Amino acid sequence: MNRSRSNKFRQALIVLALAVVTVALAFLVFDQVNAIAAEQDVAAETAATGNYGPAPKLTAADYPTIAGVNSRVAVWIFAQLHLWFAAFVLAVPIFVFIIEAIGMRTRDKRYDDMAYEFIKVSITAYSLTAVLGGLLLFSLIVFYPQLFTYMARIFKGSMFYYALLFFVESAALYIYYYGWHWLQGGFKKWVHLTIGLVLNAAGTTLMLLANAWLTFMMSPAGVDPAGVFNGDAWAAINNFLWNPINIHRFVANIAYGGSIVGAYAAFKFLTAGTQQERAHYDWMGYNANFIAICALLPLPFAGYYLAAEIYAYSQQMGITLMGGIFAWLFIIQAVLIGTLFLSANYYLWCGMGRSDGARRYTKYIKYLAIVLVGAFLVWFTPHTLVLTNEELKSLGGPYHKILGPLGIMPAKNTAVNVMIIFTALSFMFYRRANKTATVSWVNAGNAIQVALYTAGIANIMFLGIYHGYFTNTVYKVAASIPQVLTTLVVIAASITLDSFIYRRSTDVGPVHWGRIPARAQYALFLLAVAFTWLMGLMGYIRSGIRQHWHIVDIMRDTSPDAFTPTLGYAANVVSVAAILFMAMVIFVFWIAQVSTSKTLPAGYWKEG
Amino acid sequence: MTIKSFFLPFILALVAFAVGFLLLDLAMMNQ
Repeated sequence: MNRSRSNKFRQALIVLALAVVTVALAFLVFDQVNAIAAEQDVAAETAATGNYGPAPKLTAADYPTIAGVNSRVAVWIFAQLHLWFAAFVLAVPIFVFIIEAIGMRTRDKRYDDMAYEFIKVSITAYSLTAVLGGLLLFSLIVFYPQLFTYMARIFKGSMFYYALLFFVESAALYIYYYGWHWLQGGFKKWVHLTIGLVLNAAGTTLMLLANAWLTFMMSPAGVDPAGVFNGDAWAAINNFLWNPINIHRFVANIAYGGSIVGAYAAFKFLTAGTQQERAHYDWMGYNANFIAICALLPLPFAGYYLAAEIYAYSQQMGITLMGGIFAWLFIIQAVLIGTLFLSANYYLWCGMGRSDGARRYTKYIKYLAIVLVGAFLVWFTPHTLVLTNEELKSLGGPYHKILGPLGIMPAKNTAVNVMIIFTALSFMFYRRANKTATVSWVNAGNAIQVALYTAGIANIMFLGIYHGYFTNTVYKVAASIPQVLTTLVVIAASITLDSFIYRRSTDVGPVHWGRIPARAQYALFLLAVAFTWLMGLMGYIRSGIRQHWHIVDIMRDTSPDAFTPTLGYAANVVSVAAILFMAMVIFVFWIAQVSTSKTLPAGYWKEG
Repeated sequence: MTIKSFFLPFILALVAFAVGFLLLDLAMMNQ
């Protein structure tokens, strides 16, 4: 035991040493960048424009190239891979912290074991995140030196502390993981949970800082129209789109992390040798799916808020986003989001087979499926169709007279709210599957539940149809807020009411963990793949709506790649990156598997 | 399941929730 622990410490020290070397290299590069920045400073001072010069006007000669490498695609893929892993390693400690706290509260060791297994998967991913971050940094400096220099001068403080924060995060993560079995019981357990909190604080701060840099490129602040920085670093960080991105990414990371550990649990379930292992990984997959759905439900609201803020900042950027070249990518996005909802619901329905009392509810599943598929079809109905002249003539215009109205946002908002409410309903059936209510007013309770869902859905329809099509645009957009609130009220009231109906309820029988078809595990894989693809697609859109600007309206992109690629080309780059990521994730899962297997060669080592 | 035990509470609850949601709409669709 001690030997394996010292081995682990040795590995940790090696990784730490590598991290130190990487950071040292980064500082060396940073010095070089600073030297360039200092030269520019001198030039700016002689021009008597204060300490900060305007954003440089570049020519194609300002972009170094490497033979055989497309610099945009290189940065694109490295940034995307770095972000996928970063999202995963930032999200896992968030729910591991919560699961550990639940374990401490319930004193059920299964939670502690599950939390430990989740963090074990993220350890290998953590070093991959750092390696990919290094690749991204080097490729930005090599291919876009002027842009990086300009950004580094404005964000010099936050970039410096960003690098230092990695020491805090690495130290917290290693103590949290390697000290898991050492810091057990009583006061020690509280110390361990506190280290988890420090780890989360460092990780979230890192994300907020990096978000400031990329939102500055979309909605620059703290600079004049020529790009001369006024020295107010907080204004540059707290730019118009910073918080909308922060909220959306924080919630999305949790959903994404849940889906990836769900795929890990599915992988372990399908390769499990014993019934006991299958039961353990089935329980783990259920919890991972639960985390993913909890974060997925509020996500469309955060996304709608982000898009509304992009419109508010720049109508031109907003229209490019959803009315221009990127509109069809949003149709692909809608299909992928529908896939997420359908696969998460499908997993829940399959999971009802674990309890013997579920057959009371299975007859309702087909109606849930019909509504979900119907809402899904409305959700991805396009507005403007790509048509030939003949098709245009026969249709009488670019909009279909029946399907056209379903192509605008009020229809989408109504559809997604219905999908969210029905996912919550799936959950309610799942929770009820193994219980029998004993309260006398169970019929009245069920009647109130039906009334709640009926009134809620009617209100969502009223808001979407009346304000969406019969009032002006201000009301059309604003109606999305009471729609959201209606959905939240229905979900919260339904959970509260059910907790009263099932007070002192009896269980139908024991829950048979592991009694679930293999195809449910493939639904978990589908969830992880759809999430990955979706994030890659939306990452391209978020970055691409800057079009020919490095920094919108401040710094032109004059590189040979300053054009918007065709949709097919962009989708292919995103798909190649997603396949690369999946290959790396399989490697991470395999490493976690290998670390627990032992080979005992007979007669290899001498006796005694 | 009888009319009294299901439909009466259903109708009462439906009216109550409908009024509640309409008040929510009125509160939001102005500030």
